[in-house]
Amino acid sequence: MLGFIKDWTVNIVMMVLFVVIVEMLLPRGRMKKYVNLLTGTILIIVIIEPLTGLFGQNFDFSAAQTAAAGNIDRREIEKASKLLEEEQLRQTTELYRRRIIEQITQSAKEVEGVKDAQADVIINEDHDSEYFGEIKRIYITVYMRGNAGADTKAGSNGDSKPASMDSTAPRKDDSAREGTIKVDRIESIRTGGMDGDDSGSTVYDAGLERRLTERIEEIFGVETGSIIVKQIQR
Amino acid sequence: MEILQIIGIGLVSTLIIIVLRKQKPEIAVQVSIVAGAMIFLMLAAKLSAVVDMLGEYADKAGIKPAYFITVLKITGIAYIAEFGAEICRDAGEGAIASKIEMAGKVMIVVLAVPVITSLMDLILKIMP
Repeated sequence: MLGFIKDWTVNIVMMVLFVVIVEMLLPRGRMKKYVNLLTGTILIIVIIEPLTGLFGQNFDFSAAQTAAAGNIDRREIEKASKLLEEEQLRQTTELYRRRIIEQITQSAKEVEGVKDAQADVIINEDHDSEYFGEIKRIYITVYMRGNAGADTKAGSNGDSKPASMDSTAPRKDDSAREGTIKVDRIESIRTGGMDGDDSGSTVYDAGLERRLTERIEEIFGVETGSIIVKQIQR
Repeated sequence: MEILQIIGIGLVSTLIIIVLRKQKPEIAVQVSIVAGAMIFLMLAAKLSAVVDMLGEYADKAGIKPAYFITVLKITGIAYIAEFGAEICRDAGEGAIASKIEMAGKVMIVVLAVPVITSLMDLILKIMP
């Protein structure tokens, strides 16, 4: 019993001395009260810890501390990994979108009469949705070979507008859902195509458009109504 | 007598800074950072020797190293945060200084929470 009390007293005195030395070293700034809170807590633990021995239960401070610190670390990692996951998902989606665009461009170029093609797609980027990754809309700008479009229903700018109107009209269910953004996208693609080659005139070749949309529909499983084709002759 | 060397460094750098501040205030800040770091480094070895010795005595007296280590960690964080914040404040960037202090406080709290929860555990254990 005497040994227990002696150990206890020595422990407390040493700890108090140690805390005093540490506080001497501290800068006088604003951090001091935080350090004081902590040293105070540790002093209380040192004072009452041996009592657990009297009650027959041992308290291991370092084990309890490690457990609590591990708990904090685990939560922190969980939070950080959630953030990372979102970032990764976003990048994967972007990569996926680019790959689809590449594939569409490739398969559009394989269609007869097409010299070059540019594509843009809108996919479902809501990763909680069941249809995540589904292609919502495809925009294709094709540059046609020489006189391929000239001998068919040759049209100039006048014809082209109704043509693209036609292709936009059938998607009533989509347009209700997606609204104005799509219109912006169409505009930007249209002007982009015009800027690309000033000499190119917009024409309309129904056969080519049908071949193209059928092919895209076959490969990517997108409804014909969601494929918007713009033709430019060089 | 290393205290003389430290005072020498402090005085010389103060004079340099006073001269420079009129002509080139941006270099004055750098001089003050370097002087602060030099003094800090000169103290670091001595401080670590003192801490080592205290650790040995704590071992002898039977204080668990966990207490010792926690107190020292928190002191170190407070010290470094204060040092960085003071440099920023000298350069006139009070906003960044208070951000550094905030980060230091967060780190201290991260270390403090396990200690406080283990105190709670201890109290709950003692309660019959």
